[in-house]
Formats: sequence, C-alpha cells, structure tokens
Amino acid sequence: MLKRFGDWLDSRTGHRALMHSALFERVLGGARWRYVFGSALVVLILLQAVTGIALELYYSPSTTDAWASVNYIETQVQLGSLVRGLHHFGASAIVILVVLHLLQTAWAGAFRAPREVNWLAGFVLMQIILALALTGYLLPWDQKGYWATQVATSIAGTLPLIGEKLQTFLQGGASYGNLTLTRFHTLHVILLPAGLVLFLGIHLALFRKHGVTPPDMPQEELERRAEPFFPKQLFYDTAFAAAVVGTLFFVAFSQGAPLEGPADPSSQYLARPEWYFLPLFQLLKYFEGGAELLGTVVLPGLAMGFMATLPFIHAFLVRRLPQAHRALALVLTLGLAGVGALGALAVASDRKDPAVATMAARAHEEALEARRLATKGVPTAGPLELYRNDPIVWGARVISAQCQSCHQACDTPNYTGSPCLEGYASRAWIARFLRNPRAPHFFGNTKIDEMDAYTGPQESLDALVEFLYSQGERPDVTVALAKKGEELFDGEGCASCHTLDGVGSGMAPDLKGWASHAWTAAFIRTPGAPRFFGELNEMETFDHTRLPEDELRAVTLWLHAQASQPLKFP
Amino acid sequence: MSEPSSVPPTRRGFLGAITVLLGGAIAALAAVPVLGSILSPLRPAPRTGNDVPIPVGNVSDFTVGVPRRVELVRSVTDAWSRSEATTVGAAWLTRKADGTFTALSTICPHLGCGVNMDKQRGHFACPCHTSAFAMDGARLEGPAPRGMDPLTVEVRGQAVLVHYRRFKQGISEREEV
Repeated sequence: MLKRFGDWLDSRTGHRALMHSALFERVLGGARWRYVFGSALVVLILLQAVTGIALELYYSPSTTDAWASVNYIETQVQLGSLVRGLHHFGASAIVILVVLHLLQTAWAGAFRAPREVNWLAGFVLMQIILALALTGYLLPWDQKGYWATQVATSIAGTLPLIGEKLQTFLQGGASYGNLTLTRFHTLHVILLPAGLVLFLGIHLALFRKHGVTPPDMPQEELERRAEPFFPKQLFYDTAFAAAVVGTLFFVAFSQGAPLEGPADPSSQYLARPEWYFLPLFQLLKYFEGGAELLGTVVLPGLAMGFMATLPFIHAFLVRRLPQAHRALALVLTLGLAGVGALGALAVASDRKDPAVATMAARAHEEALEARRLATKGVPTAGPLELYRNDPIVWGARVISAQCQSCHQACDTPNYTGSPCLEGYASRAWIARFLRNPRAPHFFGNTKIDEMDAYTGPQESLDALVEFLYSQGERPDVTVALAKKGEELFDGEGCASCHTLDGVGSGMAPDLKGWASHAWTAAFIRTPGAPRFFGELNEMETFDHTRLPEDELRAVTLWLHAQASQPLKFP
Repeated sequence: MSEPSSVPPTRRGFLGAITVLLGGAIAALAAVPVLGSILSPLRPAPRTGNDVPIPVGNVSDFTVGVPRRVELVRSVTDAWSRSEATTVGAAWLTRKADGTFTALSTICPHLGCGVNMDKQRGHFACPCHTSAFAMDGARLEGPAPRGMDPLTVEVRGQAVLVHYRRFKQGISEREEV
C-alpha cells in the first residue's frame, strides 16, 4: 500500500531521485567534521524562523505596546520566555557559527575559482544576518535596544551628503517613534528574511554545483577517499547541529533573554550594543572630531570590502604567488582576531570602570521595577506611565531629583546631609532619633542642637515612640501604648518645646498629625512656618513652582510609606 | 537506495538510525517551546474582575417604554495593556412603568452583528441576516436561534448599572462565554 503510494508520488514528482541525489552526493576526499558549520547554520536559521513566528504572534510594534508585549511574552505566555531565549541566543550562536564557517571556508580557499560567486553570496548572507541582528534588538523597545540602536542610526546620519536624509529615512522621521519601530519591524520580519531565503537558496544551489572545497590532495587521492554524503557526513552534520541546538536550549532555559526597562528618552542609560557589535563600538573611541567617519564607516567598510573582493584579490595575486590563498586566509584570520581583540578591549574597559557597574546595576533595578509594576497591566499611554502611576516609585524619582542634594541616601559613607529619609518615621527611626537627635543621620549636620537626647527608661521610650508613630495615620498602632506615650509627653519634657494643637509655638515643630500625609505635605510647602521649624528652619521652601501638586503628592506618599521600611544606616 | 560506500552496511544502518534520532531531537527541542507558546491562549483564562456593574446613566435619563441604546464603558485589561475606559459593548435599555429596567445585549445571537432598532415597525432588527426581535427581545423571525440576550440591570438610588456578559452565538441555549 505504502509502496504503491510511493510509486504513484514518485511518478508525479520524482522525489526519489531528488532524495537520492541529496543523500548520495559525493564528498570528495571523504567526510570531515570541519564541514559541519554550514549545515548547522541552516538549522539555526530555521530555528530562528519558527521561534520568530511564535514571537510574532504576541509582539506588537508600537512605542506604547512593544515593551509591554515583550514583557507579556516573558511573563504570561506559556513557554514564552524559552522561545524568546532561543531566538535571542540563537542570534548570538549564528554570529559565532558564521565566523567559524567563514574561517573554515577561507582556510580551505573556497574563494578561489570556480566558487567566487558562492563566496560573494555568502558575504551577502553575512551582511543580511548582521542586519537582522541589528534590527532585532530594537524591537523590544527597551533601554538597551533604544539607546544602542540610536548609535547605529546616528552613524548613518554622519555620512557625507546623504547622511541626514538617510537617517530620517531609516528612522521614519526626525526622531525615534512608532515609525522607527514599524520600519525596523518590517525589515526584521519581512525584507531581511526574504533576502536571507533568496541568498541562502543561491548559496546552497552553488554549493551543490561545486561541492565542498576539498583538501589539497592529488585528484586521484581525493577520488579514492570520496564518500557519499550519507551516512557519515550527514551524521557529523546532524550530531554537531544537535549539540549546538542542545547547548542553545540549555542557555536559553537557564539564562532567559534579558529585557531592560522600557525605553525612556529622558534617562541616562549606559548604551552598549550586543556583544557582536562591541568591536565597532570600541573602534569609535579612537577617532575624535572630524576623523569619526574613519571609525564608523571607512575602516569597517575597508574590512568588509576586503572580504567581499577576496576572490578577485586572490586571482590577481596567484599569478605571482601560487600559495596566495593561504596568505589571504591568514590575513583574514588576523583581521578577525583584531576584531575580537577590539571587542575584548571594550569589555575590559567597562569592567575596570566602577561607574559602568553602578549604572548597569541601576538599569537592572529599574528593569525589575518596571516589570513588577507591569504585572497589573501596562497603561495604554505606554510603559513609562507605569512609573508615574505608582506614587511610591515616582516619589522616589522626585526625591532623588529634588531632595537628595541635601537629604542624601542613608547609606552614603561619612554622611554629611540633612536628616536622611529612608525608613523615616518608622518606630526604629523615631526611637533612634529620640535617643540621639544629634546623630549625623538626624540633626547632626544641621544648626538644630537644642533638642536633648531622651535618657528615660526603655519602656517609656517605647510608649513615646508609639505615640509619635500613631500621629502618622498608621494602621498598626497599639492604642493602649500610644495612650501611655501621650500621657508621658508632658512629664518627660517634650511639651516644653513641642505642641500638640496644630498651631505651634515657633520653638519646635507641632507634632499633631506628625508624619501624616497632610502634615508632611504642609511641611514641605512651608518648613519655616511657626507650626514647623519657625526661625530654626534651614530647609528650602518648596512651593507650587518648584514642586507641582502631583509631585508633592508622590513625595508625600513615598515618605509616608517609609514608616514600614527598614533603616538604611548603621 | 544504495550506493557503494566505504562504510559497511551494518554500520551504515547504525549511523542512519543515530542520525534520525538526533534529527528528531533537534525537531523536538524546537517544537516543544514553539507549539507551547502558540497554544498559550488555550489555557483556561484566570477570572478577572470583569463582572463589576457598569454605570450607564441616571433613571431620569430614560423615558418609560422607549428603548435607548447605551454604550458600556469600563476599565479593561487586554493581554498586556490596561485601559481605564474602553467601550466593551452596548445594550438596549428600556425603563418600565414600575421603575425597573430591562436590558438587551446588542449582539445578535445569530452570528454577532449589532442589532438596531427599527422604529417604523417597532421592533429590533439585525442588519446582517434580517433577524427580527420583539421589544422584549423575543425572536420574531429570521435565522437567529434564540431571542436577544437579556442583561441584569441594577438601580442604585438614581444610578442605573448594567452587568455586562457575552453569550455564545449560533446556538438556541444561552451559554455565557
């Protein structure tokens, strides 16, 4: 039955002859492990295609949705993180294998006649693969993609004559936006893959025409050692591809593809390209001012030009130097080693710089924060709204922009600031403050030295702490203890300076509703009012122009939330 | 299919089998995550807070006995994005003499077109396949398998609120999606 169906199909399609010619193609000189890179590349390209299609089902190319949809793939889609990991690390694996394939074919002298056109097709394929890599990592619209790709399009903009127009064309406008994403997306999923398929077809057809580039042996020897593609070479190819895919699977599963915070045009992000573009990035450091084009375009262009014209350089040289292909392979290898060294230099200089580590750590924290906030859904106005919609997160940003020139971060060594704010008005904070108001993290760096440290017994301290804590509208107040603290307020001498009437004496802040939302907001607006520090005040006044109402609200909420945070100083 | 080869036939079979196995392993490694992610929407969806009643106006906005079309707007989480106000559907609301309301989903139970009001004939009419429904939603004629789908209306003081639901189309039973 099956045989009859096979016969029927074969008479219509001739598939048996096709299979036969595919499997029993003669490999001159015999099967070799070093021929495996090309077929592994084909396997990886297919893997990129299927994982790419799966990702495409969930991805949305717009500035408001791209990051959110990629985060959705990472967190909500079943096995989505693994698919994206495979696609992400698959790109890296392809670049590595392209280099190995290039070196192998170069040392075999595959650029010599009659394979010149196939060498050129391979060169075009490499350019397409690099372009796919570049367009791909903008698509998540995260900080890394956004800033690293800016560099690439800015380089296009520096080209003489056409630069400005070219950049506008690539970006789809004067600056990055929806049209940049739709263009890069179209390139990445339609135009470049179409080109890839076309040139891969040419590359494979020409490969079938000429066969592998055999080792340097007499023709009889090659013939004697010749083997059909099946079983040995096919086994080598499959085994290597399986090892590559297996490794890739492991890395994707254990690492997962990174996703930075959403692209924020207002941020200071440490822009670094993917590792395979680091050599180009490093090269830019050596050319200043007007010489920039040398690093961005001329040198890389010359290197690529050398690679593309290798068959013709060889044809020219071989008349004088019969072993020219070895010399050229050596030059190519040294050139690639130089490219690798540039990349290593870029990594090394980043490793040495502590500022890089700090910025990277901050970017990582921000990414985690954005992804935590995104679990409830990303606002339709875009992922940057996540920060603004969360008063605590936004409050922290306003604090670091507006307040930290005086109120330093609590873990700053040798603290010299105004009272530090992390853990402000928590029980621990109040207790520490009452015991030592002149400590550097409290009033130690201000003029205020009139408050005495509280030296009473621990239980009285606890009661006073609970009373002060209860003023801030806290849900977890022990009422009886707070009541006891209120009774101690007069007797322990607090009332000789502080009032509890909401009006104040001008001697020390009134403590009615201390550290509540309303108290804090009023304090920030008018710290020098009699109700607050009066004449003792050193803090700047933050009125509506310096701190708009919504920012004040965010700061107030952030400060209020500190009561449940741990102290960040010893 | 055979060809002279340096590899003896038994070893050829062995290598062939291993090759098929390894090839299968590659295909499986690719297929599991790809198919798994593609089929992701088939997993049972988590219950969302989508049954909160939607305010559509005040009692006085409605004339007794005259159906009025109201848009149902509420916050929606759609895959990754969250919107505070999105139109999720519409309903025909009729205020009755006793102060209660009836509400009918505008989605035709046939194949999901939006049902209109035919004022001249005094009944509801679907523009797609000419199903017609009486003012109380009962099926009059046409291919619709059942009458229009009623929605629960709640009156809180002056405020009128609709509990929005969607039902499966094309079947005579009323089954919530």
